[in-house]
Amino acid sequence: MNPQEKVFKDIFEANSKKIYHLCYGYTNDEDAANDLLQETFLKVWQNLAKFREQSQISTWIYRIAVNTCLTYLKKEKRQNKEELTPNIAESQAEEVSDKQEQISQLYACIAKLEENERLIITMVMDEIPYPQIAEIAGISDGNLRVKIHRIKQKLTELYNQYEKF
Amino acid sequence: MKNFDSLVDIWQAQKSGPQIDYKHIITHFKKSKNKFIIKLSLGLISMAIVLLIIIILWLKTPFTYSTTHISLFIFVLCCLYYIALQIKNLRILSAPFCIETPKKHIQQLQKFKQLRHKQNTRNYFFYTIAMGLGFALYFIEFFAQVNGLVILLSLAFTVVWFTLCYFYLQKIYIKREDKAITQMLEDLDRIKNQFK
Repeated sequence: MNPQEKVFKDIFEANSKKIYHLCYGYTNDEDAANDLLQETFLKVWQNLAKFREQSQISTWIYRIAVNTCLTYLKKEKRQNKEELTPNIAESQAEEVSDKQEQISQLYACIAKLEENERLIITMVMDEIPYPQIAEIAGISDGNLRVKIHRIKQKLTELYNQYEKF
Repeated sequence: MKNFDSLVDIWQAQKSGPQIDYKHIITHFKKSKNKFIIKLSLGLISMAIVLLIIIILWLKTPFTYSTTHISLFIFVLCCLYYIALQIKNLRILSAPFCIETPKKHIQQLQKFKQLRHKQNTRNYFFYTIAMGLGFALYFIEFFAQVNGLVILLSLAFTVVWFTLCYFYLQKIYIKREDKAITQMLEDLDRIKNQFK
């Protein structure tokens, strides 16, 4: 393994799971999430030499992932944007454990948010520091805090609506 | 009833992860890079060969009509335009524009899509007109040297072909492209506004 591949391996192992969750949260589709993850890390590999350490590498990777997700949306035209009804969510969850059911319900709720909300909230739940999220999203810290407050409320309401069924 | 912290607990309890590893990505990159380079190189080499043939034909054949020289000049310009366009698009695509802020990224994407749209519709229209004019001028000398049947067949084929392209295929294509780009730009605008 050459040095660049070694660096890439370390970067992939340190970040891929969170980036996968971001992509999954954005698409609510496992295959699409894997495709987006692959596309993101292809760009990381391609541009690794150009990374200038002006920001953290994870911020840089998240930025690429966010832009890749936004571009994916354009390609797909949200044809797969699922308006998951509670019944569908229920039928999908029947075969899985309670914990997994809760996770799929959470993903279904995230899928109902606006595009930027989906990306921001998955980063919040993965405990990415707020200044880093603001840098990734290219918005001010204050603006981000307002948005996060609103998204948290929206997501909690959506989830509790699901739980009623 | 759950609060947001409970949702975070659910989120963090998930064990699912990506189904691909770093090796897969490196292999994929090497393969797709080669494929892309081969595809692009073939396009450029083919056009360069066409350009070379036209230039050799122009230099070696003693054309007597000035219209033929004008037509060959038009063909050369069309070939050069195609080559320049391919190189320009490749340079844009190679630029690491995916590391900008989402808002700027979307703006760049919109700009690129608009440029591609212009290339595929308006510029393609002028390209077709130029090629048509080139053929028409070339045929003046060509027709002076061939019999009536060849003239008739050449004219019929060219007229039918250009009529089909201009009045049918191109119109359908432009209509479809217009619809797609409008939808895409609207989508991108909507997303861009979310990052204000």
